[in-house]
Parts: sequence; structure tokens; C-alpha cells
Amino acid sequence: MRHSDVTLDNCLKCSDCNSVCPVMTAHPAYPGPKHLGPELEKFRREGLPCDSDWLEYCLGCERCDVACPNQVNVAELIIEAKGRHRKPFMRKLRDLLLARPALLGMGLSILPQLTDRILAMGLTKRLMSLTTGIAAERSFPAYHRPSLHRYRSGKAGAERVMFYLGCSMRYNEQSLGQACFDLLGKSGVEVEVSKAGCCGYPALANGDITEARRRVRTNLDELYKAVEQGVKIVTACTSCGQMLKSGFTSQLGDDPALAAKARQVEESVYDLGEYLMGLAEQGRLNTQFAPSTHGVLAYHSPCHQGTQGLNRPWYHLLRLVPGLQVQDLNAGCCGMAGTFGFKQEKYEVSMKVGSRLFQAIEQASPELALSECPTCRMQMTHGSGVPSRHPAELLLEAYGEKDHRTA
Amino acid sequence: MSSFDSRFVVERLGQGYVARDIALPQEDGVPHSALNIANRFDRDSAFRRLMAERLRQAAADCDQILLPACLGQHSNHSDLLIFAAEVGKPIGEMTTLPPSVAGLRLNNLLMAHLRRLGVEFVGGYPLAGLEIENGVCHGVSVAVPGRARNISARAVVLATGPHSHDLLPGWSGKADHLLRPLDGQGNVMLKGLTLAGALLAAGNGHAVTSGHAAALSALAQEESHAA
Repeated sequence: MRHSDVTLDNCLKCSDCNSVCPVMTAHPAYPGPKHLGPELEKFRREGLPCDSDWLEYCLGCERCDVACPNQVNVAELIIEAKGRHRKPFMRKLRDLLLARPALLGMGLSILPQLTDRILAMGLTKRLMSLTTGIAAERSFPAYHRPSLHRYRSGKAGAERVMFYLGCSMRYNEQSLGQACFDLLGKSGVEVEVSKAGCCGYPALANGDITEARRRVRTNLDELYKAVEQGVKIVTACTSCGQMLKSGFTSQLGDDPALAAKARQVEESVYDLGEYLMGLAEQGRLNTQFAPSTHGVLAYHSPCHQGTQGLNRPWYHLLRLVPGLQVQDLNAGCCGMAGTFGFKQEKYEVSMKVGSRLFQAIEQASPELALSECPTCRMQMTHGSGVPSRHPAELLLEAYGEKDHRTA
Repeated sequence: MSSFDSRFVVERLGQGYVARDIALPQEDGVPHSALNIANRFDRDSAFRRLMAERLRQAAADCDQILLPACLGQHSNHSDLLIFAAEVGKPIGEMTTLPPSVAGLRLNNLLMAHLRRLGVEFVGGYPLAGLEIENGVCHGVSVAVPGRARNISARAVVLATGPHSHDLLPGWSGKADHLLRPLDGQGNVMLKGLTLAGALLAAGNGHAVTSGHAAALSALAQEESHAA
């Protein structure tokens, strides 16, 4: 029995979920998580037809789950309903592709320079908007041929971790991946890259539950090999982290043979910031930081950091660097929500949701905006014009390393 | 606006009050609610100016304005002073049916203030247990995704509601004058732990006052321990 089966009747209709929903702040017609989740679920379970296009507008930020005083799994109920939601053919086709970033990455990284040039052309953007419903206002990140998937630290460390790349690091942000490995190496941690593929979260967010289950089922076996040897799994992406910490049991938990394995894997997953903070608390983090030469940096904590129950680990890690001025923006959801902001019909809502964050960045007038989540960074730069980076890169630079992107 | 009837309120308040309506444009034809006005108030400066102008006209002959609480989920004291200056009258807000925008705002402002001071919040997950060693509570364990997270603390205020006996086996349901849990023999069960809220007695009023008292008690115990 899923957790949501147990908690459905706990909904008191207090509307706390609605009050924190980022979409409700931007789209007054959006009925909100209370209605789309527990209210309609009772009808859905009676077999009554209550499908709604509004289900597609849920960002999957899971702020509703955290806000609920009675532990109703509002977001999980909406995700399950999304999986049964019927879409027009073209939207279904687009979402089928967006649900598979690894497949997209594999295809687009065959000839990456050519791909990047074609994707950046105005004509391509207009055509994609008209045919596939990808927002013409958006730019795709640059693609690279995968180069990190066989990485293994050259020298043995005091501890070994299995690093989970995620699709963004595998196909787009390889210099960030290298920075993360080097950062762990600075504290004597040996890194091996996991062969596990996409975490399955994009599939869940796009209502493709079959694909999400396929992804977690494949990854479970791969990650379990490391867990059996007592190795921790570390990821630098908060959405991958959220999925790896809860997606196995939520998607496979009905199968008793897999449930125990799923729980063991989930217990072994760490966000990179969480892992480094753990080292800091044990006095094992290398803190030989050089004084910072940066101006003010603006930090945004992604929604999926809060839903993991983490406490801004990167914000606290960066504050260990002498002279580094980090301002916590605390301005809610960025509105990008992975692939949500790429959809033409959702672009305006995505930007409206992010407007509070853009204003906060403008007020801070920082040299750089920082966040762990790759699509949050994309949105921050798109909405504010301020360049954005992962905090791991700044922490590595604090050891006196050069900017990895130019090295 | 749904959930607020100004005539009903005036009837209850008695003489000296008049009910006035102002018309504000709807978005996408959606009827106004306290929450959607508050969200728009936060987001849209043109809407705030229009609202101030309409209120100024509607209350030209009044000394003060009472509104259903809807002036933003995130507006701070200075935002509200600026708005009142634009309206030209002091403004008060009255709570509506849940969610109360005034309560949400107070919560958001307090949390933002504490976050700036370095306080961290782990919300939305149940308490898995208390970390106890040699009769002293050293922290709590929270059931976050992945694995339970241990949070160590010099003082713990337990306010987990009326169904918390599983967390405190052997607790008599009573507390001493410092709000520390007592066992069946009337002895203090644990050091470093103070109780508050509906766990002690039912009722929201008690929850707030006992929360304050528990915080003071925890602080006093902490200071006496340090001394």
C-alpha cells in the first residue's frame, strides 16, 4: 500500500498547500494542489471522470507536501493523476521526448557543435515552437559528447563514493562534473562514476509513469551494487537527489521483493552539499580556503533541496570561505521546474512564478547567481540576465583552483 | 469577494462603521478570494496602485479602513506603511476563513527573519524519535526522505501534538512547573526536554502561551546548565 493511500483521508482542507503553491501565485485560474490532489482523488478512486488539463500545470516542486500539517502526499496524488491524464497528440509527443532527457542527450551529443548551432538559430526556435510546442524564448544548453561516465579517481582516498551524474552533467555540464570530483578529492574522497542513467524524475513530471518505473527499476540494480559494498551514492543535482531518495520506494514499493533493496539504496544517497557538510561536522572537510576575491553572490535554494529536509548545505559551506559574501535570496520557486518552462503554453506562467526571484536577484545586484539545480540556474540567468553557477565550482575555486570552465 | 461580507461585519461591529465595496478587475474571470488578491498584491505593483486609489476614493469620508486580510503574503511592515500612505488612511485587516493571509504573512516574515539569522527549518516530516543518552535529550531524529536525519541540540522543545505518547514511553501525561515531562512517580523523566502545545492540553490559545513558556524554560535550564 502506498503512503498516499494511508494519508488521503488526512486532508483537513486547511488550504496550507494552496498558500505555498508557486503556480497559484501566478495563475489565478489554477485550482491548486488541494483540489487537484486530495479532493479529486476521492472521485478518481470511485472511477468518476475528472481528468483536467490543470494537472499539467503542477510544477512538481512538492512544496505542498512540506506545507501540509497532516502529512498528506499531495504531490504524489497529482503525479499519479498526471500519469492517467489524456493529452492531445502533439503535446503527448513533445512530453514523451522531454520525459527522456537521456535519449535527447544521446541524440543531440552525436555532433554537439552542429546541434548547438542549429538549436540556437531563430528559425529552429520558431519551428520548434510551432511544431513541438517548445518555447521559442528558451535556449537549449550546450551539448557535449559524454566524457565523464568512465571517470574514476587516480589515487585511493580515505573514503570512496559512487557519484551519480544525472543527465545535465552527463550531456551538458561536464566541467561542473569534473569540478565536483576535484572538490571531493580535496578532502581525500575517492570518486567513481555510476553507470546508472536518468533518475526518472523528468518522466514523472511529464506524466510518463511507465518510463519512470523503467528508469528506477534499471537504476536500482546498478546502484544496489555500490550499496552492497557499503559505498555512499552522491549527486550534485537536487531533483535527481530527491528522486534517488524517494522514487524507488514510491515507484517500486508495491513489490515486496524490491522494497527492501529500494530502501537500502535510498538510505545511501547524499546530496553533494549534504555529504560535504557531513565531512565538515566530523572535522574531515579540507578548509584550506584562500580569501575570496568575488563580489556579492546571490544564492537560491531549489525546491527539491527543502523537500529532502536539507538545510541550505551549500550556503553554509560557502560561508566557510573567508571574505565570501553570499546572500540567501529566499524568494520561492524559480518557476522552471525542469522541463515545465520549456513548454510554450507554460512559458508565461513559468516566468510569472519566477518573478519574485528575479526581483530579489536584481535587488542583490550580485556578481553571480548560485544554485545546485541546473534548470533553476537556467531560469535565473534567463529571467535576470545575471550569470549563474553551481556552488561547487565556487567552493573549488576557493582552494585556489582556476575556473574549470576555462581550464 | 468570497468568504467576506462587509455588511455582516458592520452589523456586528455596530455604530460608527459603514460597509463599502470597491471593484477590482478579476484575472481570467476568477472570483476574488483573500489568497488570490494577496498573491496579486505581492506580484503586481500596478494592481497595488489601483487598489490604493479605489480605497482612497471609497473611504474619503472615513477615519480608518478595515479590510479582509489580503495585503500580500510577503509584504513587510514598510510595504504596508507605503500602501497606507498611498490610501491616505490607517488600514487594519480582519482575518477571513482559512487560509488567513495575515497569519501566513506573519509566519513568512518570521521565518525569513530567522533564516537571515541562520536558523534552519525542516518542515513536513514526522519526528522519528528523541535522541536520549543518560537521561538527557540531546536532539531529535526526523524522518526525511532517504534516511532519518539526526539534529543535535542543547535544548529541545517538544510540541508534536496530542498523539505523542509513543515518543515518550513512561510519560504520565504531566509536566512540572518548568514544563519538563514527569513519569508516574512524579519525577522529571529527561533533562534538556521541555513540552509545549496540545501535547500538554488542548486548545490553540494554550499552544501559543505554552510555546512561549517552554522556550523561556528551555533557555533558563540552558543558562543554569552553562553556569
